[in-house]
Amino acid sequence: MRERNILLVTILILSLIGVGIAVASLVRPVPQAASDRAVLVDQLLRVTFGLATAVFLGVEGLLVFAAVRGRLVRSSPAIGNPASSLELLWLAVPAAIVVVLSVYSIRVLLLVEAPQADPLLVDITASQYQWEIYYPENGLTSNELHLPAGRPALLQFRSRDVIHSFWVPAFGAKVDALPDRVTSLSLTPIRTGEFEAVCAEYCGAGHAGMIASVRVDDPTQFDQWLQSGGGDP
Amino acid sequence: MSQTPRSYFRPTTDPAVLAVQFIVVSLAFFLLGGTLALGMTGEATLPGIELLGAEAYARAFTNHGSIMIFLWLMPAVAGLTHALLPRVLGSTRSALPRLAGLGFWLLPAGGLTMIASFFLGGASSGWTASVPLATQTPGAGQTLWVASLILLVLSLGCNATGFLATILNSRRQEIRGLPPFAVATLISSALVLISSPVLLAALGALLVDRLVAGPSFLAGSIGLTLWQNAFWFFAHPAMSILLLPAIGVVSEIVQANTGKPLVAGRSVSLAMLMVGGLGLVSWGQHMFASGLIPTVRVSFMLTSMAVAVPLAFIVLAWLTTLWIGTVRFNTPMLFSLGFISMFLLAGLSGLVLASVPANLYLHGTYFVSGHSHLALFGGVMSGLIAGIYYVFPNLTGKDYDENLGKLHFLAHVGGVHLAFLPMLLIGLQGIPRRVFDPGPGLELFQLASSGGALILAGASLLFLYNLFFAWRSGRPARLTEPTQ
Repeated sequence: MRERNILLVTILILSLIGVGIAVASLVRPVPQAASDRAVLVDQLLRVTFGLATAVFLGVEGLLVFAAVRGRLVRSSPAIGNPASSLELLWLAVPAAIVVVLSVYSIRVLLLVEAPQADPLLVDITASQYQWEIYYPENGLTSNELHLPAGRPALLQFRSRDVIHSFWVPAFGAKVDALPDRVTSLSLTPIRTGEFEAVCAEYCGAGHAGMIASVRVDDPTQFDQWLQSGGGDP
Repeated sequence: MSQTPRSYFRPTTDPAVLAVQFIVVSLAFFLLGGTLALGMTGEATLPGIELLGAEAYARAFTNHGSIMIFLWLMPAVAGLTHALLPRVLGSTRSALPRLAGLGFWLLPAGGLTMIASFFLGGASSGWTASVPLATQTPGAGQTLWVASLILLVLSLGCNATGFLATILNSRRQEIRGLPPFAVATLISSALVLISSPVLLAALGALLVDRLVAGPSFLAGSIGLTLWQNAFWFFAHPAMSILLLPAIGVVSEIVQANTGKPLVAGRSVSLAMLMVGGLGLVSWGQHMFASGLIPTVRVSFMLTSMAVAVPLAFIVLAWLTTLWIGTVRFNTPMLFSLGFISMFLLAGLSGLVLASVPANLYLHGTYFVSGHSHLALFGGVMSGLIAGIYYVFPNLTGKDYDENLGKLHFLAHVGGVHLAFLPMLLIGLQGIPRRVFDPGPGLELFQLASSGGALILAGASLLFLYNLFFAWRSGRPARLTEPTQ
């Protein structure tokens, strides 16, 4: 009987792990990941969702079973007093999950925030309700953000009025644009294509319409765009 | 029970009357906040049809947030505490009865002030009143809204001081032997007393800045950093302030309906203390995208994540108690089980938000709204409803309709999942919150979410109907436990 229970529990735990892995490999939390950051964040989210699904199903199953068990089996199992080994287990399992997620998150953070060599500098100034994009190396101003694929970019943000937040979902991160202070976001676009930058911090009635087009070009196309003074290449 | 209807309109120090006053008034504001939510859902679901427009939409989400937190959840928890605390302590003696009464009367004062602000243009800076938007938004409505928050935070402080004094002065000298709901209330009240003065000071500064020409206290980048820190120093623990009483009431209901004392009860009390303590030092989690120093960001991440450990411990203690007991599936018990399940969902989505890199993707999106609604509506509110059903026979001397209660439970659980899980997905698809049109490709998610919201509206009306008719003409209660 006891051995059968151990076998059953092992099978259940293994199948939960299986479901977790399946979820982690199937979901795509960051749609159209187009930067190095986005790929890492996508992986982190996939692992987290896989883990969360396994935990959710496991605890949910336990909850339902624990709630109806008393009606099925009319015996009260004895809980050792003090239930210290049980309590240690209750601490150890969640603590292990939290430690794994924290270490993984710190690793991703160190990777994405590591200073990049020779980045393309872009100054982005937010105001109600537009993004103003300036390339200091070329003295070019535009209302579209163009970036070359493969070269690290360092985006620096300021705001003329209230807090805004610059977010290109495909780039995998956002950063607030604040008045009187400079914030920055570094990333390397890895895929060409057209994207959108939205404002992710409520900034007033026009917040929903505060959108700029973003394009990742291949390097030659990008140079042409710069030379044409920001027009269509 | 011996109350005449009129006694509910008089200032009182009787906890049983205060409980009813708090619960009835907060339920009325819940209806108001819910109506705003339905307006927003309608706007987001019907693209092209301008139901509210950008400005009314902003007023709707601002006031929806502040009403639900300060005029529904906080006072409803106070009402439940007035009802349940005397029962678990075994004494109706309130240590600071007049302060408790004042705590109640500040509530309609604050609520009416907030409603008045609607008619003067209304507040539209979001419930977080982010500075400098909140100092720059013109209009007397915005100013009056700040004043109403000050009254409501004062009410909160009065309630917390009263509960804290009552517990510390109760006949049980030994704090370790306190029942779970008293422990939860003790920690929750302490959190209020630590964090609300900071918010009060910030609100005072905001009010002065709005009244005198030009910001002085909250000017520039220092001002906005000051506001963010002060606001979240209250608003992050606010989750624990609301959650702990729900944890306490669910623990009591689990004990009452399994016939078993909570397994590892003392460790659960310690876990609640950890939830409170970690809640106090995690406020920076809301500022990851605001240029925090990297090491500070990581330390806030660690404290935000660590809170999962004591919470998981509490859940496992409940599961074990259910395991060894025989469960009676009455309405309060069903809502408690629903609380455990939906709170788990909220906790897991919260774990995602605690991670800095994941947060930088998801901060300020529908994912955050989905998470906070799972935590507040699925979590805190399920615990509150469980508690209200649980104390109802003692408060009114009447029995509510069990079958209606069970129907309410099904609609509530279905509605929460349908309304708020799609929000998580919309956020992952890259849609910021507080945007009234989520855009093409997401209509189905939005439709599901609105369907859920309508089901929740129905569920809530069912709840009110059940309470109202039971109170007016229900059967006399068959009390399983003695009333005081």
